[in-house]
Amino acid sequence: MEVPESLYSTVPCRRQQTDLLLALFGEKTHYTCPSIFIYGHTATGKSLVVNTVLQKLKLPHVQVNCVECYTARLMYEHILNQAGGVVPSPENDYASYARCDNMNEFLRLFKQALKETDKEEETFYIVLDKAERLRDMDMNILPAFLRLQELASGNLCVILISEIVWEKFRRGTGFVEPFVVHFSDYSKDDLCEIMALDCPVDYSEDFYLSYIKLLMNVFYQVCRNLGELRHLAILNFPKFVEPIKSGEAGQGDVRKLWRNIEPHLKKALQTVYLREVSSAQWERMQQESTATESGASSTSTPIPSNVARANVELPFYSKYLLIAAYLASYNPAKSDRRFFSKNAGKFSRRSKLAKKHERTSNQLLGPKPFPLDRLMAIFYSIVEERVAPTANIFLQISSLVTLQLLAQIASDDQLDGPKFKCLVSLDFIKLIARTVHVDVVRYLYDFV
Amino acid sequence: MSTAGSVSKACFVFKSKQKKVANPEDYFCHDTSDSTAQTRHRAFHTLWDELNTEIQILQSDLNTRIFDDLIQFTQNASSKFTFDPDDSTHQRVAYEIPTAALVTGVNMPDHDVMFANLISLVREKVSLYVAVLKSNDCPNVKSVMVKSITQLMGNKDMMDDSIDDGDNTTVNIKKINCTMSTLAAWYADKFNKPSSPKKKRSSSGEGIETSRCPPLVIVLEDLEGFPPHVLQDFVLICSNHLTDLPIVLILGIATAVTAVHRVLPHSVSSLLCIERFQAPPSTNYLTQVINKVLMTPRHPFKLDAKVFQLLLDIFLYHDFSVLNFIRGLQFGLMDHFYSNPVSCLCCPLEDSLETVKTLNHQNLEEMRKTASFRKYVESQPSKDQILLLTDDKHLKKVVADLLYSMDNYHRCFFPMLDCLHCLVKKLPKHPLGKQVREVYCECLKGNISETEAYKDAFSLLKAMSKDEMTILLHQCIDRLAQEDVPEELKSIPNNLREFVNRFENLEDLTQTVGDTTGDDENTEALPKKTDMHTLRKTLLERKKKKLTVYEVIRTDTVEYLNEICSKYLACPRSQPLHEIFYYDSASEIRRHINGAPRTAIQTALSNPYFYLQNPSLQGESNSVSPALPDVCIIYKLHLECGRLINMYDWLQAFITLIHTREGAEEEEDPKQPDKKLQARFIRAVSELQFLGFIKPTKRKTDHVARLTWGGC
Repeated sequence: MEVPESLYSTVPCRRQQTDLLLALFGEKTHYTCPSIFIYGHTATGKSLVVNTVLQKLKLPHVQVNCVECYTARLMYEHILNQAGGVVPSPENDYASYARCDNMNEFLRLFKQALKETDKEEETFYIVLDKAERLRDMDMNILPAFLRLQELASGNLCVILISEIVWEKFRRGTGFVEPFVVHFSDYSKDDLCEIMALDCPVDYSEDFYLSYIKLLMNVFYQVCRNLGELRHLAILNFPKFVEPIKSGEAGQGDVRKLWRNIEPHLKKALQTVYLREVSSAQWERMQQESTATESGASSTSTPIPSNVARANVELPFYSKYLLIAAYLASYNPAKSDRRFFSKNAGKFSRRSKLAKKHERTSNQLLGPKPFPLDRLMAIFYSIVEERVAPTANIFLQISSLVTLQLLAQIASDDQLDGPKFKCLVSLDFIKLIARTVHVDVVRYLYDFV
Repeated sequence: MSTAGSVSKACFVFKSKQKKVANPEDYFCHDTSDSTAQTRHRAFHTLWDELNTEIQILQSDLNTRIFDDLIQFTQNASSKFTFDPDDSTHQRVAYEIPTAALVTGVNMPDHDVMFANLISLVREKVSLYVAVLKSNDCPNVKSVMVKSITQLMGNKDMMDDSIDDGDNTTVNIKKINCTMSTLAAWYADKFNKPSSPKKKRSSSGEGIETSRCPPLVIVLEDLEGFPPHVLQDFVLICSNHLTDLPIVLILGIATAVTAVHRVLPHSVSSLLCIERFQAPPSTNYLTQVINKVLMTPRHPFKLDAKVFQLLLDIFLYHDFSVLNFIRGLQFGLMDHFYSNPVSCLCCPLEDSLETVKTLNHQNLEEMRKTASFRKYVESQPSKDQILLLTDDKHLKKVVADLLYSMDNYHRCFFPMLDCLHCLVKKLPKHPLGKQVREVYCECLKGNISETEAYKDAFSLLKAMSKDEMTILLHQCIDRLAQEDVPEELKSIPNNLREFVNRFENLEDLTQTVGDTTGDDENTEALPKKTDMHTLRKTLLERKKKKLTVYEVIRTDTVEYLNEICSKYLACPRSQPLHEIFYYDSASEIRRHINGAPRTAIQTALSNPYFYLQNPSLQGESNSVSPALPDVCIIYKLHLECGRLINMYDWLQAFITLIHTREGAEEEEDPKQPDKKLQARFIRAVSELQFLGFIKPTKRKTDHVARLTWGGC
């Protein structure tokens, strides 16, 4: 089978894997092994390699994204549509090739569809991307796809692509072991080479590569995801070339450019993976920050700090309810008497000793469920004035649940004493408590 | 009715004859002897309509800025989209779904209106293809897909329908597979035609600037409510089709943008290109509503201190929801007109003067009964008193006068209130509060000039520096120079300006006055013979007296301000006939708006007389009497028990109690209680279980668990 040279250039740094796949595929009419399982981290070129190979060599194939086909029926019909060459359009009322509800029908229809095509002898490839979703579907689907060649008795190959290892797929019986191919992570040099492909037209490739290398020095420690790195590279490039555009530095003036970009990259380092701002907003922020640096009186802070990002304005009693929920979640129930009743005894020496052993454990173990009664009892004792138990108070608990600050667990029956968990962090609750002048730490078992 | 004789056992629906639709007017006019009921009902409607339109205008104005930004964003996001797959810019953009994170705040009841406004704006300005998803319709991926695709494809394209009927776009949604590929095919068919001159012309005719490829806007109203896996899958699916569909997401987030990261793992959130939009907080909106609707002489209806405070408390303490505040206001308005007979005069001045003429004797008697009017009568000379109480014609004249003065009072009141707010809002520690509504509330409570807070504020004003003082005065002058200020207050800005002038000419004055005071001091001799103590006192006093010119002017200014404030900011309750305009039954509002279900149930069980009003139940709130309904007896008995209740003991106690009434004549075998009593007992127990006080438990046989704590 002749291989067009452009194949390797479109998928750089994956020559070994490409060759392996080509070897497995063989000639067009050869039988390929019934199933191939490809796995590797995110952004290691799995789908890209498979798709480019299939497209460049013009092999008959079907691509299925298992997330998109959320029921088995959709998946069957999707495969049949593509195999049978049916394109949903207004002319056919967006109908599919045929209605197909189960694997049996699928096999029958699929054989029929293959016969209709003129390339019956050639290997037909079915690519199942995000194959881990197949495990959640009916039990028979995964084994059946692995044996599709046998079941449909045709020249077929099923390629499964996933981010997790094959061992996690074994469930139930009837598996045929697929041929497993691993896509290893890109090395640092590979990453640079690939990212250099994004080079904008106005600049030379060498210049862009040097930029990428600078960027990698900063970010490689915290982030090896190609997608994220590419995003960062594109985001920060305009800032990098700013001195060149303004004529302050030439393309070769690496040191100057570095000094210019360094603080911005440091800032970007704090928000890696967050993607809270779009590229456009980021640029606006950058401009604002340069404006403030140059002495203009702009009051807006360019990058919101961690605390400010999570800031939520809550009604007065909601704050108290949330604090009460936090205390109920992180304090053992037997300590309530000590914190909230007037004439509570001090800790005995022995319990203090016992506590030493489990010190900070509550914070590490995470929130524990508590019943509604306990929440209300703590709530009444931390709110200074008398609060009538009106519908509005209980309404707030459920709105805290919808805001996902609390979580209701288990009990479906409202009468059956519902239980809750508090989902917010210590920092968040401290912030909330400060606004109502409650010292939460004083009430927390772990810190007393 | 032939089906009634059918042999099959099934449910049949018999539609009743058209029921008379309940007419609110009938409720209003339940008392036929009251002739003003209709007038009141009409006044209520006109007034509420006015308020409502004003509130709606406010609502749409409030969000204009953020909505403009959002519209801009959606337009930009879609403008890059083309069907040409080789376009390099397109390739790069296609990695991320343009996403607007609209941080809406926690006042969830208000969001419906906000989103409705936003969606209609988007439809009008950006794209007709908008899908709205709410978390409670979307428990799984399938429902999300079906919902969004039906909304997008089922959209009746107005432009196309009018022009070419042959190319009908409505698709039979039920039959198709709801997948993105279907949607993509549909979209390509609609907009990827090589030339569509027809469409272009028609769109320009409609005045809607739709680009050739309008974006598909998908709005998720409450991000927090969606199950995480559903949202993740949905985002993944959308991003797979970015190359052939210009999808724009708008995420409504009630808490903070971090919620996105809590719901979506990085692999998914990196597919989004999020831009944040912060909606203005609901407190702003509330302030505007209060300013425009309550604190204005234009609308006659006002809330009294208690009601106002109650509604504010519900807002600030419970939900931050302006919608609920407005509902409370509406209820107050309705109840005011419903329950208060004199409220027929609660309308704009001209109308009320007309109404006064038509009042009959009975209405005027009502007027005479009001507390404020009686107070007013007592303050009049005795000759007038008799006239007022007996002569209807005279009374009408007086009422008209009083209405005039009330109107005038309101006209002066609110500009002065703003002035006072200007003066006190920046004071250290805010003795009268930061917001104008707090000052207003103080004014409603009583005569503000007599309160401690007011005195504190003015003593702080007396300690101000010159610059601060002049700024404040200028602010007051500006406020009083506005158009709505009545004639009566026109002189005040001039007086204030004079004070400002005096402050500015201070430098010239200092010396002249300084000399004279110096002279005074010299002439005044010390008393010759004094002890140390009195000498010190006199010296100290003298030192105090030695005021600079600036201080003199400042004291004068503050005195003047104090004078006008106490004159115009008198408590509305001191005005005669304030009952016409002010609604004060806070308990009514509390009962209806801020209900306490638990208290109600407990009252019903422990004191059934409260609701049943049956004389035989009277006075039984503390003791357990056999006359009570069974469930009440059971409830009271269960209060005496601990966490677990033994059913048998409970039954015995119940039987004993019942028997005390029947005189305990028939001695029964206690082991074999009466079947009827047993049945009554079981029914009462299951009622109690239904009310949520007890539940069956497996911890101990023949026991039930209590779900409430606290004894009797």
